[in-house]
Amino acid sequence: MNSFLALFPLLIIVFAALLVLILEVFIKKENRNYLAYVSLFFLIICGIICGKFWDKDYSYFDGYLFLDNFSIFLSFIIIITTFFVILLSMKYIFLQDVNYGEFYSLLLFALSGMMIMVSSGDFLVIFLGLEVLSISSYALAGLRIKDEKSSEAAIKYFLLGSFASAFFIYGLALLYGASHSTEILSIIDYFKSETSLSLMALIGLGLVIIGFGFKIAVVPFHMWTPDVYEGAPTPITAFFSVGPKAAGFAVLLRIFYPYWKVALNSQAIFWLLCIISVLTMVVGNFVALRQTNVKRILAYSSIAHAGYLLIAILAQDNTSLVFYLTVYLFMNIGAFAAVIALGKKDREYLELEDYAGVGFKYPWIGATFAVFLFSLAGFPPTGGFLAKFYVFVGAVRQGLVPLVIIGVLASLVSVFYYLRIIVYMYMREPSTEIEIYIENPALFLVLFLCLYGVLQLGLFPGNILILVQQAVSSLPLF
Amino acid sequence: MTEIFWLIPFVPALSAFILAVFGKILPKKYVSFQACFAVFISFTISVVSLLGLLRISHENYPIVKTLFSWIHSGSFESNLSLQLDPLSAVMALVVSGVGFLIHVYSVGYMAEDKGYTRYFTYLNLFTFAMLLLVMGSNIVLMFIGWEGVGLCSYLLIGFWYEKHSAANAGKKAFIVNRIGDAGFLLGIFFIFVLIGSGEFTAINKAISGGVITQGAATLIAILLFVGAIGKSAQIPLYVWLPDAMEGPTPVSALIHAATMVTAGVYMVSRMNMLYTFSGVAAQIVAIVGALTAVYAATMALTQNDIKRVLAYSTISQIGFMFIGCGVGAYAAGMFHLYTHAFFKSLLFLAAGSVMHALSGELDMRKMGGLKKYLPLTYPTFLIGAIAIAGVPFFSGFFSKDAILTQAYANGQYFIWALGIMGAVLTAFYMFRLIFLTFHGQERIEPEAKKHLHESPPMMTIPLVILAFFSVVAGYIGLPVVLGKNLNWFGRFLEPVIRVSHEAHLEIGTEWLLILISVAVALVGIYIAYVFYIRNPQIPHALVARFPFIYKLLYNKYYVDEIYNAAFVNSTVKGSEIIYDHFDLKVVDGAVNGTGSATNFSGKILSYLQTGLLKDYALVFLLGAILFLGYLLFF
Repeated sequence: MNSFLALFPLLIIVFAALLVLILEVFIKKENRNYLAYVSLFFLIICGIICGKFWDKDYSYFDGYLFLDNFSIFLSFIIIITTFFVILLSMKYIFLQDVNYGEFYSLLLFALSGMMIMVSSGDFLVIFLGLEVLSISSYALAGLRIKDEKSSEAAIKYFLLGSFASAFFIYGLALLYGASHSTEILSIIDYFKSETSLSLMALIGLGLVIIGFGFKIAVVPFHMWTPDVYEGAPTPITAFFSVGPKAAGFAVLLRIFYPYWKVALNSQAIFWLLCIISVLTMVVGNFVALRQTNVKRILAYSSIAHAGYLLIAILAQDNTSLVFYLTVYLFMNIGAFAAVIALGKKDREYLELEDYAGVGFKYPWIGATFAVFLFSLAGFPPTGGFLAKFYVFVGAVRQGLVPLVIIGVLASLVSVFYYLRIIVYMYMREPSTEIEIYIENPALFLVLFLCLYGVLQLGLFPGNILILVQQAVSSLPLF
Repeated sequence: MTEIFWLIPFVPALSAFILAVFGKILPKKYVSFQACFAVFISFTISVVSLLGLLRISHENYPIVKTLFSWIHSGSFESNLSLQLDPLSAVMALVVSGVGFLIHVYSVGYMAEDKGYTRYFTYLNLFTFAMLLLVMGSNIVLMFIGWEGVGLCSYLLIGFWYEKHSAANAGKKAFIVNRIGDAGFLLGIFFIFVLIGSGEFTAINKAISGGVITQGAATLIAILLFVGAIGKSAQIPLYVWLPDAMEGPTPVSALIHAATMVTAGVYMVSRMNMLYTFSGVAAQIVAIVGALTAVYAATMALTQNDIKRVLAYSTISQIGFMFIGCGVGAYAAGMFHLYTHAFFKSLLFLAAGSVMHALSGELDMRKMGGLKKYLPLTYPTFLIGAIAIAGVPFFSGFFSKDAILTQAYANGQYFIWALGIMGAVLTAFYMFRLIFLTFHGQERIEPEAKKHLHESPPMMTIPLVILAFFSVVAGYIGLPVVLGKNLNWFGRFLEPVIRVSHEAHLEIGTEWLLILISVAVALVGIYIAYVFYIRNPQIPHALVARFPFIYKLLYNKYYVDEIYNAAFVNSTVKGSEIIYDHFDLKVVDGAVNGTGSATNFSGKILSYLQTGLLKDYALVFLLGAILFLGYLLFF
């Protein structure tokens, strides 16, 4: 249904971002938490409204922006991510000296960009969203101005990101030239009508995929990830590891779901994605083995997870993909929350040695962190197990057995570095005097909610699965 | 009210959870109150549900409540759903009812124990697992309960884990059960492969719809029965049950009467269509049951430990239940399970009371003449013995007679003869027990005699209640000769046991069979009387005459020793050899090799991560070129 209402969630977020930016001028530095409350308030409103629009199928701008169930569900994922990240940041920005007024506002702008990405079927609109997201992200990564690593992260992210954007927009231009449209479905329609693809269209599609490959951090377009993840403020790293990845995969799903149905000349693309998926799983997991910095370990782990997610794309298994993203949100944010929990004024504990004996000193943080790591490694009864299980089962059903074998072996390798953190937490005597800033109810709320999410999705996924199925069934079939 | 039947297993679960988390800070009085009360709630709901079930017409059976669906992947579906039908209602009633009385008894029995809270946590958990087993609407849930029961039995048998023998007994129970469970699990896999669903209704539909062949049904039925052999302690996996005596006595009562060992009988009755369809499998069930019934009874003849006699009698009685199931008289098997629950828990609790009175003495050679010291325990124990011996007008008579009559009616004369033999032996060893313990001359140790006392009311009241039911419980399933419609129990179970082989005999034949049953029981008791009261020297003379047989029976056919030599020792030895040569060298070597190789490739790959922006951009560019090149040229 064509209705202005389709813009509503997006407008709320943009309004909130601007409001926070204005309020910031009037609020004292030590009262910045009020900005967080305002942002959280608007996020809740936006979430409720998104919930109300479920099954309504509103669209606006001649269908360039729409709220089908799929985009609503993905919006939920990124809204919840942002919600958690804001909760995580409230103490963090005071402790780690990133207390800048733009912080929350930039987060909300990034969120609005992602919401545009997931709720459009037109490459040009998607590109707009991507740029809104990217520019906010560059600034967020470099927010720890006094830290060289943070600035390095920002400049690397910015330059490589612009590089990727250039690839994307060039690919889009070629696609437009070939098919006279920027709409995904029309472009695929064109692909179907041509018996042999023109060079222009094929290169265009390739370049677009490369552009997205950068955002979702697949090998070989992943090089920025560890450095940026390490340098950025930790809550922002948590944000990067979930939000943009979810948005990127949403767009890939919008491209490939109808594209596979056309199946015309898809062989080359199919094999390319297979290779990328294998490379991503292998490189992500193997390099993670060598890391001693927990943020870098989680960075490589997030690369590896993109590889598993690509398997779901190849298996055309939308339900598993979206379910995986949902689980991934809780377990990854949870893991980062545990990392953030171990920190005091101007000091974060990020080296593996710092984690020695944490399990005994801080049993709750240690135990929840262990659950998230088990989930990332894919142990039952956590959500991570079911997510991988569904992806692999779906792939076996499509006959992608070799890919699944590699996936299983790769995740076997991953067990090593996830468990290594647990080994440090529980089997080493505390070496350094860790003291942490304990009074942080917001952070414990996030830890608790993520723990709940991981276990709920692992034990009783039924209701969420039904929602996911409703969401993906709204994807336009070809 | 029937809709809330799904709460039956979860109330004890909640209670166990609370005790496990807050047990340390709760006062002892409250702990015992909560544990008992939780099971009492379950019992009340069971009663209400059973009454509700009677008012609903048969077509609406079973009532299924799906709580949530766990895994739903393609055709594979696994739900947490409970069902209420006559079979599960009867089982829930027995488990929660007898379980409740055992909880109450435990309050007195365990009063001095330092692991009081832990004990009640396990006991609640045990009840939960068993209730889940009998109420689950699919075989996966049944298996979860099945494993839960195994785990709890391990925890409770080894409850006094400081005692070496208790810890070992717990381990033995667990490991022997595992062997059976492996078969059970295979059976479940075959069900999923061949039928595609674990729901009992779907399995029954598949069988009646001809989805699986008779051979497949036999395979599944036998694999499942292997699990039942382990859990219900039948030949050859019965060895764990006598050792399970190492746990606290109420736990033995719980394991023997209400939970655990009856699980196998319940499973076979639940799968009755499968066994009937297979035919061969049912015959195997009957043969294993009959052999066990006699075999275990012979071992009970010579034991001097009061609880061990009862343990072998349980094995033998479960054998009777399997005879019932095997000959197609599932209702009769279930009926015996139900009456057995009362008199066996009565016997165990009464034995516990004797132990309590004698400061922990278990050896019957050190008892005798206890009749006058234990005015409440003696009559209740006697009632239990009469009931299990099969004396008319007591519950055990009706159920045992139903089984034997059905065995005969179905033409299984050999099975019937074994059953009769088992019945004689049962009457004999039970009264041997009674006479040695309560009659004759006192052989009590002077130290124990000083403290000799009747147990507190918390323990004797459950005895009286159970004694009452041991007498009357049989009257809901009277034999056909007394009137066509008096077998209320059988008719109640009819909707579940759809294919029934209830054959009918001539009235005269049936009367004759009943007379034989009666005669058998009385003969057994009379021989015991002659042996142990009138001529106490006869047993000694027999032992002197046939030392070999006595030794064989006394040492339980040396089965434990044979198992140890054949399986346990060789497994331990073999695994040591494998550990030394294969594990340490090949496996560890391979693992370490893989580890270092993996680590090495990680190292190589991480060299690419130089940290220099231009290198990153270069990799990006090279990647893009390769990507596009592949796209264009392949």
